[in-house]
Amino acid sequence: MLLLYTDGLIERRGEPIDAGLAGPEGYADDVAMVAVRPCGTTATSHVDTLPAAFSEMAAARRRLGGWLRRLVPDQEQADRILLCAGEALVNAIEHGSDRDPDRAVTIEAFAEPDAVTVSISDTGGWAKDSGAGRAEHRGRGLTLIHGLADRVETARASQGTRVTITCRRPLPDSTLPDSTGRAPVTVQQ
Amino acid sequence: MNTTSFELAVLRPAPGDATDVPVAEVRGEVDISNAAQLRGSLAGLATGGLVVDLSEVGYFDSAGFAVLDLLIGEGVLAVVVAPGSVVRTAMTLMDLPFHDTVDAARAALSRG
Repeated sequence: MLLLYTDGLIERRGEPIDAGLAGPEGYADDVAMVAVRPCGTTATSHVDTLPAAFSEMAAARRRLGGWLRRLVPDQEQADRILLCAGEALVNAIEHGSDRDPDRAVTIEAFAEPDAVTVSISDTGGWAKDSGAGRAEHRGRGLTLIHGLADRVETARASQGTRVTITCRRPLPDSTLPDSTGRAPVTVQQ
Repeated sequence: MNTTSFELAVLRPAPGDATDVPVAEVRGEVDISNAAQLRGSLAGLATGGLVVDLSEVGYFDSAGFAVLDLLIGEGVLAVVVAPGSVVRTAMTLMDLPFHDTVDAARAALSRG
C-alpha cells in the first residue's frame, strides 16, 4: 500500500513539520490523501483490487482467468483454480465486506514452480450468518474450495480475513531430477 | 459484458414427440449475481422434464449448483457435464448426479 498526503496532514503552525499529525486545534492547511494499492500482472504474479460488490466479480475473474490460462496449460487446472478463487471472492464480498462497494477485496496470485497460490483478502470480520439459507450457501462454497484446492489457509486478523488457496501443478518438463537422482522438492501439506 | 451473464440455447423436442424432453445448453457464466435468473429460466422449461447441458459453460459456481440441486430434487432435471471438466468434479463434491451424454440424461429422466 502506498500512501501519499499533502503536508496539511502533518503541518502545524509554529511547529516543525516533523512534529507529526494535527493536534486538537485541527489542520492548518488543506489536507489531501491518496492511498494506492498496487495492481498488476507479471508472468508469475497477479495482483488485483475490486470493490466488494457481486457485479464486480465477472471482470475480476476475467482478469485472473487470463493470467491463469497463460500460466497453466491444462484447462481443467486453470478452471479449478479460478473456481476456488471465485468462491473465495464471493465469501470475501458477502461475509467479509457486507457487500459494501466502498470496501475493497484484494486478489494476490503467485506462480511457484510446482504450485499456484491465490490469496483473497477482505477488510472485515466475517459477520454471523443470518438465516439457514445463507449458511447453507456458504457451506457449499467452502465445500468446493476445500475439495478442489490442495491446501486452504485462513488467516483472520482485526484488519480482515485472508484466504490462501494452493493448487499444485506439474513441474515444467525442464525440471528433471538432478545428477544425484533426487526428485524435485514437492510442496508439503 | 462486464457483469456475470449466461445464455441458454434450448433444443425443443419435435412437435408431437411426447417422449422427448427439451435440452438447455448453458453458455457463459453463472454465479451468485445471476443464479436466481438461471433458476427462473430453468424452472419455466423444466415442467415436464429438462436436460441441462453444462459441457460448454464458461464458469459455474456453487450458486449455480444450488439451483440445479433444487430442480434435481424435484425430479425434473438431469445434468450433462463434460468429461474431465472442473464442473464434473464440482458436481461430485456437491453430491449431485450427472451424465456424460444428453442421451444418458434423457434416459435417466424417462426412468423417473
